[in-house]
Amino acid sequence: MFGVLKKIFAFAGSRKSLLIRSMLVAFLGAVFSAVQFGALLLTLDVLVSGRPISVWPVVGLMAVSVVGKAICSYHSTNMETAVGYHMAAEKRVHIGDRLRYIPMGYFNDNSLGNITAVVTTTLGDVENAAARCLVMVIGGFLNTLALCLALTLSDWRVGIIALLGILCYLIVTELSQRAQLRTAPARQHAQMNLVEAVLEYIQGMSVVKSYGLEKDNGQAVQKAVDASCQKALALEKSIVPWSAARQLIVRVFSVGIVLCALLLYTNGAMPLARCLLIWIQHCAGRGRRYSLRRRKAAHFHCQSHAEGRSHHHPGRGYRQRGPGKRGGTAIRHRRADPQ
Amino acid sequence: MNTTKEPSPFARLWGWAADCYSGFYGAVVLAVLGVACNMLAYFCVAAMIRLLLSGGGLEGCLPWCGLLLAAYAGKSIFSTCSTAVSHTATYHTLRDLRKALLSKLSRVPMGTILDTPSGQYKTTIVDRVEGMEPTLAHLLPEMTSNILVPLAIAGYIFALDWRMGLASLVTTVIGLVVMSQSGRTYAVRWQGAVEVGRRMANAIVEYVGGIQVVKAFSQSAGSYKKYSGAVEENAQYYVDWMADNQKYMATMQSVTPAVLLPILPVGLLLWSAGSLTVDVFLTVIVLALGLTGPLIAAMSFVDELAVVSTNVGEIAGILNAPELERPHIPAALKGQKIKLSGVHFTYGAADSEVLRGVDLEIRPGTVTALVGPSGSGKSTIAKLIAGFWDVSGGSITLGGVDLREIPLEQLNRQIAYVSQDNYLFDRTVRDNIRIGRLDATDTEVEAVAKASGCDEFIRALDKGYDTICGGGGGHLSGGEKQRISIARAMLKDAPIVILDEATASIDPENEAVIQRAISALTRGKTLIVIAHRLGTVANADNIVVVNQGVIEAQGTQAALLKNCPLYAQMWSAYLGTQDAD
Repeated sequence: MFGVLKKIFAFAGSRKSLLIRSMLVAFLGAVFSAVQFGALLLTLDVLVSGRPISVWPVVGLMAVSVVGKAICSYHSTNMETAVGYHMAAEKRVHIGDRLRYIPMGYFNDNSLGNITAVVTTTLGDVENAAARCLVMVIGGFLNTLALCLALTLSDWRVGIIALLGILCYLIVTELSQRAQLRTAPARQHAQMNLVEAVLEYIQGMSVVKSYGLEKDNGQAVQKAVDASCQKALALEKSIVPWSAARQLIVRVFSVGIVLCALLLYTNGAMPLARCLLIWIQHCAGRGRRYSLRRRKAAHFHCQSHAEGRSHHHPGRGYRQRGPGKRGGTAIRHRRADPQ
Repeated sequence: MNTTKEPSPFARLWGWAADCYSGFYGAVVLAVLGVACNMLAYFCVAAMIRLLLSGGGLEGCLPWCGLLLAAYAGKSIFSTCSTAVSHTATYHTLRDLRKALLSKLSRVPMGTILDTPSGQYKTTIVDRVEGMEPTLAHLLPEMTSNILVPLAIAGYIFALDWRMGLASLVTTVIGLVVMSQSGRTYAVRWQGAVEVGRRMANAIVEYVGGIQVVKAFSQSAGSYKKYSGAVEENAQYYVDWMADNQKYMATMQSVTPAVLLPILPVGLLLWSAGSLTVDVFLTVIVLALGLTGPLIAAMSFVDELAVVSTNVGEIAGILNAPELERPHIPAALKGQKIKLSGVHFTYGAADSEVLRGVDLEIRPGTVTALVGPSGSGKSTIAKLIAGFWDVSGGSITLGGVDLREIPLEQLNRQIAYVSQDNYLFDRTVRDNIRIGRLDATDTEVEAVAKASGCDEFIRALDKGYDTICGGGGGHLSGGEKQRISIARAMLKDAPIVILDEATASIDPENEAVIQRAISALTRGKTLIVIAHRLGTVANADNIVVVNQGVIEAQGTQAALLKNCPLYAQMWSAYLGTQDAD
């Protein structure tokens, strides 16, 4: 996983500093998001001790949290989107520039077709997906880090459990991705075969029809379609146990946090308000870590996408993908972020 | 305009999934079980809070902790299984969809397939179908839970205290209002994006495609500027659009999850007034924090549906294309005479007819040449005879039977059609020629190749007849491919041979050799030739001059030179090119 992130980072070229700044701002946003727990703690203190206070500090803290988060989110997402689109543009311009100086003997129809396909479609995919990948993976990571910090501030022992949980989760994720990488090439191969079989079927159709070859030639492409389905399912099957394992780890450590807080409270090492706060944070954290899981999954989609693009048919038109109706390219794809 | 109600993209997609419904329903059931476990977890936490507040301790809470762990485990297992089942059903659906598309293409008029770039079909069959996988696979398991969980939570909160229920919904309502505002300019911006993207794609194709010419004439600077300008414009457009969109998105994403903003103050006020107990307050807080995550996920799913609708549209375009209707019982042909009566043909719109009333008789065993300026419709006549499309008006008969009453396989056996582009498979030269008649022996293949004037150049290839042609004949030059295609057609030995500019890529010296070979091989057959080089068809039995969709004149060379000014003009132009040296 870090390999792909490094690749995207290197790809960012002159926009690296913008990328780093966007990550810092995103982290700041996560911090603002965690401020709401301060408001929650105030409330819990009041409830547990029975001493009534004015609601204004609570409202104030919440307002700061929301406004701060909104501003940081706006800027960091814009920066990430700019990085995504501009780095693709930079690569396009760079390729165009190189073409002016490469000797003409290098070119034939095939290589020009390939270059066109890369500059249009492949870089189009990168400009769409890379920004999204970065936002999701980095954003998810930073949010989780902020949550961890919030938990640690509540109680350092609970924080340690949370950190351990995240570490275990990352290890399992890495292992699961390595397992997938073993099955993924077969799937990629099946897809390439499918493309070639479909092209041969369509391009050869006039010959097939006029010479009566339907029976023989129809079979090859049917087999390719079946193979593509089988390999895809094999890949999915290899993911299932890992996916369950990852979720279970998150849940087990969640319950661990709950237990730890309970033990600390019943042994008098933690005030009740704190314990309740940790329980509530863990419920919220459940959502956040769930979103981290999703982002890892989506990111792997990006990774296999980026690494797997091997077949380019020169005749392909440029395929456009716009932003989602409800958000920028940077913010779609199931972002479950409760705070 | 289309007045019938078109099914929504999602309804279409659901229709295509018909064979896999049981899988999808199973996924829904598993997802619902997962949601139930999820709610159980909340219940456990609520119970533990109550316990602690009422002074309970470790022993009381431990069983709840155990139940909590079980609920979480249940949720993980059910949701994983739900996704797995959904994936299986999805991939099966996509496989069946691809097979349906491929089978449809074999029934669509051949002319439509030849006119559409194969890359476009490949994109639809491979990429568009694939593009629907994430949405379809994740839709049912996740939407089920993304919709049920907030409903269950909201219900639970309302059941506890209706005022807190209202407070917990405030931010969601604000979020929805903000989002609806952002949708207003979307369509316009998207059009702009398509335009900018198209300009960039054109600039890229032009720049890269023309790089050799540009370099040869040292024009690279200006061309490069246009290219890089278009590229930057595209990037900037999207960045600006995203920035505008982000105002709404950022607001929505920070306000909607901030359920504590209304809940904490309202709860505190109610509590200090004595009308809200502590444990209900805390339970509401715990529940409300889980309310908005699934809602936001559900909203971003709307994006996915937009992608799906584009894909579905393209796929439906192929699946709903008109088919070539033909009977299955072979027709009884009386002879080989081809007759066109009042033939009209248009590709689409009624006002752009390619053929506007063509009457022509082609007697069996004769050589007919179709000549005329580019775009006159001569190639269309040949393709209609070969069965590539149905006529729009009038009729074409073969042996007295209308082509529409003859099964396509039967027609294809009667006709050997060779055009400028001919597909060769990734097999040996020998096997490619053998396609003409599968049971031909190697000797017969070589004999036909020799008779077609191809033998020499084939033996000059690396491995002679066993040279692999490459996908689409990619290892061979255009002229070599054409000559092999002609040999293949000759091997077929069909009674009617149509050559549609079949020697266009062949150089003039070899063309003469091949013309002689073809004449020898097609003696006694009906030969229809379309050629630009008039010299090759000057000896035809009947030369038909086609101009602007009608037959201007027909007859022998001598008669036409006398009676048809257009032909005389074309002939002298041809002679002019011959003399130029």
